[in-house]
Amino acid sequence: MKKSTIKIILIVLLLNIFILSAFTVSRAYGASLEISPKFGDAPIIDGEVESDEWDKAERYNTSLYLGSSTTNGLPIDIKCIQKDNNLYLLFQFELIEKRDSEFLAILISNSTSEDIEDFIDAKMINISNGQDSYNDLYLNNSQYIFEDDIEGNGAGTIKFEGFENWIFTFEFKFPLQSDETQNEENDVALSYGSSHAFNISHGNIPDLPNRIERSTTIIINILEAQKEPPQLDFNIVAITLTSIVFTIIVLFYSYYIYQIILLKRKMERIGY
Amino acid sequence: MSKIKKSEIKNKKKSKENIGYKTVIKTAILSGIFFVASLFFNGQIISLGYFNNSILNIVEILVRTVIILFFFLFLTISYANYRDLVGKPINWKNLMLLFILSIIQSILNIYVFFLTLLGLIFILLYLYLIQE
Repeated sequence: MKKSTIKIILIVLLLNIFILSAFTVSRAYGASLEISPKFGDAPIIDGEVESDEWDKAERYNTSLYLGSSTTNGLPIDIKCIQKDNNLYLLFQFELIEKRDSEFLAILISNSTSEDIEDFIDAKMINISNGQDSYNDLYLNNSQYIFEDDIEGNGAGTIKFEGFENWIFTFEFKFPLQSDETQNEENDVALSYGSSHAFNISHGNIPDLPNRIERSTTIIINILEAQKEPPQLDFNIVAITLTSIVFTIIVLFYSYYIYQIILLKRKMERIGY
Repeated sequence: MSKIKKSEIKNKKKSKENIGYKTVIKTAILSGIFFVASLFFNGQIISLGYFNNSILNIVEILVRTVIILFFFLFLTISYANYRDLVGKPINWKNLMLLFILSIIQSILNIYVFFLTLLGLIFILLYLYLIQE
């Protein structure tokens, strides 16, 4: 085979690979961590970490990366608790500087898919001039649109500690879907036993996804619903106790009546 | 002693023991009736609690207590007479057995339990003092 023919075949092959790869590989976030929540007590969502409210949760560590890089990330601590119909998440990281406005957004995929288009739901805590606000958003034509504010499902604080760093703390509460609960219209249904990709995004101007500065994606494996230990049925206990007690008395009483009959026979034998 | 006097004494003894035996039977039957009543009330087969009336609840507690106390009283009289007829007077062990058989009927209700306990202690004290 001629050299020129081989070159042409190679060029065509490379072109094919290039063209095909552009179509098959979609844009996606890459999961840096997979976590499983722990069952524990529900923490208070106020942006403050009390002494023991997150103690039962395992502490995970990952990094928020600038743009598409995967090096020199900002370390972030994550804790996750599942309690009743809710999933609770705590995020903490440190920065040397703090701006007038800082936000942390959680983009939620409808599955473990890390494709950008699958992150159809988002929750955001924005701290502006020391005041935090919580927002619910949903994906519409590659833009996240604000829904009505929901109080109580997210809170954050930024505190200066250790004379060097600002500690950023964000607490979220995500309702889990069960037979008793109903999710908001545009929310991802987080059901028991399912796994979802969560993208953690940080920035200063609350405009998603355009103004995301740092981000990372994690997978959360939601646990099956915690089963209550079977309760002792008082009625069954009462019936059992009554049966035992009164059976014992009946036995004694029957024995006593039998003894009386025997006594009567004895008395008759001796002529009474 | 003449034969007539001996015969009279024997007849009196017979009559006394026949009366004693009849008492054993009668009081045993009465204690049996109260036991059946206790089974209905303390076994919670019949309950006035459905009416959700506090006065009826108090009445029910008192009825339950009184039934157990009568059961204990009649069974004690019956058993004491029985023991008397067989020539072995009733002792504290026998009384304790009757006490336990009575008090365990009230285990499903704490108020009935304490009232019955007080009542049984009162009856035992009364019997003790009378016998002494």
